[in-house]
Amino acid sequence: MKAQATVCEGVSVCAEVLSAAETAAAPLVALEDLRFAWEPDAPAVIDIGELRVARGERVFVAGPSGCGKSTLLALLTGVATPQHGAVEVSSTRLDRLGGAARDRFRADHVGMIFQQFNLIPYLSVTENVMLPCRFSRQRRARALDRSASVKAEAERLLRRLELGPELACKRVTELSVGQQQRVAAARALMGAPALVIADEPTSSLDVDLRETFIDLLFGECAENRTTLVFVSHDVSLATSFDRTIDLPVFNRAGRAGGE
Amino acid sequence: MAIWHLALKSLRNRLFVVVLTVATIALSVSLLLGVERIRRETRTSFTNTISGTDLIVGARSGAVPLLLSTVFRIGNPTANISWESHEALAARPEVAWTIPLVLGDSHRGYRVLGTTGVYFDHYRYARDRRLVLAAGTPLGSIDDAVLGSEIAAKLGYTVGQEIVVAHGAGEVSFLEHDDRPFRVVGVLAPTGTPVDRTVHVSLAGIDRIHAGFDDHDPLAGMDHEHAHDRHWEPRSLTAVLVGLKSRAAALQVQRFVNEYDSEPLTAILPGLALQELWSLLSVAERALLVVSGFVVVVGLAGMLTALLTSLEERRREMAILRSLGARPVHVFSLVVGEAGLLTLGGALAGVAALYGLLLAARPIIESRLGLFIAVGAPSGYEIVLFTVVCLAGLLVGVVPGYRIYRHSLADGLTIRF
Repeated sequence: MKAQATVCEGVSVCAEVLSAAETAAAPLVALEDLRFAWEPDAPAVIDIGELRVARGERVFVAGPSGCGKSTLLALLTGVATPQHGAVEVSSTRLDRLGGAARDRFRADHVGMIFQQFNLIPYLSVTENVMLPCRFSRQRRARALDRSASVKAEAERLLRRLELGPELACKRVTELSVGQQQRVAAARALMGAPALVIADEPTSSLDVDLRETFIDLLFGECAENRTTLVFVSHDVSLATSFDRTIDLPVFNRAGRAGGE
Repeated sequence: MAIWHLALKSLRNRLFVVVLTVATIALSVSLLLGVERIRRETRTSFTNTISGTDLIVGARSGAVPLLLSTVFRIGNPTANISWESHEALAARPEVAWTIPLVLGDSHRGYRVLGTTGVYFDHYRYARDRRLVLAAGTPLGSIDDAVLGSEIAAKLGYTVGQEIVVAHGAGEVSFLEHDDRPFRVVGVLAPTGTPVDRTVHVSLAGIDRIHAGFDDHDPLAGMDHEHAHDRHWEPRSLTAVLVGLKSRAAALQVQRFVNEYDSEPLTAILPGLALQELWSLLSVAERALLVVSGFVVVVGLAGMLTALLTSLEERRREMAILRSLGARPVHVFSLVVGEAGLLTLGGALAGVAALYGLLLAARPIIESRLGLFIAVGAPSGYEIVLFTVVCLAGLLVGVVPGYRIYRHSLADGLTIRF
């Protein structure tokens, strides 16, 4: 069940490596022949032949800092656009979209969790969770599919992540780090985006809290068939994921430049 | 909608700085609008004080001092003119009427004006309004006094009351004569001009005050021929208001007065003298407006500083918003919107403070400076100033807005702290 992704030297090789189950459904994320550098003349930081993530799949992206994890996430969320190649998320070619359209796409389809300092300090817990619905009608509509109001959906998600109603009206700065991270998860899951990206979300959590956090995250993702891309340098977490992508191996740019 | 909501919440989070910024802008705006308001009201008040008079004749002096002392009761007349000069003037064929004026005495801080019944027939204010008695009768005997409305109201005087007039124009006079009071025979309707603060008595009445003064003056013996000459004609006048049969003759008569041989006289055209007054004042007015304009600039600069200071710590916040799908334009308008809200709030608070202050200070300004400040709707120019301040605030917001916009493009979603 846990397939360790191997180095792909080209599209044709990769196609053979991918299992039948993964290719059957249209992938949620598809990267093809992707090259990216932050500056036009700088060496590429990302050079990936092919990478596909199926709908509902939970992928662990591993690698030390500086191997291009953050850049990969920037490409997946449409913050950065590649100089070459295709980025397709949820059947949308992000590399062909303009800046505003990519922002709109991110608002509609992507939920993000960061390592720390995730929350807007001047909003309450519930208001933070409701934020994505302020920027996306789609997520608002999906939230209203499940609950009577956006607020009710936010409260439902908070309960799911074991944050009781007594916390809902608190200022986020009054919460513990673990609680803050769960609020951030609830916000990322708000309005059921197709893709949730977590960038080192457990780094500031204690070991026992990490397990709890990941379990809660998995539970909620499974319900909506949400695809989860989870980035961390802490490989001990990788075992519970469907698949692990070892980025330094996968990213040809990282291999050539970094070592 | 989302942006306004966030901007408000964010501002509430920084309440202390926000309140200080809004207060700074409010003060600067109320100063700016206050200067403009006072300027406008002063002009209106002055312009409304006299009309229908073609010339003012007084002892040789500048046009502005003569205008101020005779019409606005500001300052004291420096010299007098003789009754003979007045008669020579009144005898001119171009002259329709003359109003002799004697100033220099006071009743409890209010000026006493000695004049004749002609004053009430020919004095006009606010374009073409004449003096109307609200109660009582016009001046008749030597002991009669007609009060301006404000004196009657402030001092609680009614028709029939007896009042004492002191020699000299000070608020406190030690030479009062309780034994020879005037009797209030009439009270004028309010005019909104210095007339409201004037006690009107007859020329003979003025003469009587001076005669009484002379009796008690140790130096009076030096001046016997006047002290005992109880003629109804006053010995001298302060000024004469002149109405002409035709306005076209104004320059001719002015020339006659200015070249009058027997004593040095000045004749002024009230309209021209007002113009001269404005041109004198306009430098000060402009300086005041410029200074208050700079105060607004300082207020907005304070807001700019506050916004720029908050910017560094808000880069994270902006990155979070960007990760939630906020476009750079959202981030930009969040900051500009905050600047707009701050300026609008400050400007509105400034207007409110100004109105409050005007309402509170109006009685003091009236009694001390003799200016009537109407507390009405803002003028077109004030609305223009208000709008300019608000737009300037938005414009100031563009600076941090653009910086955060650039940051949010460069930072992307990476949050480095």
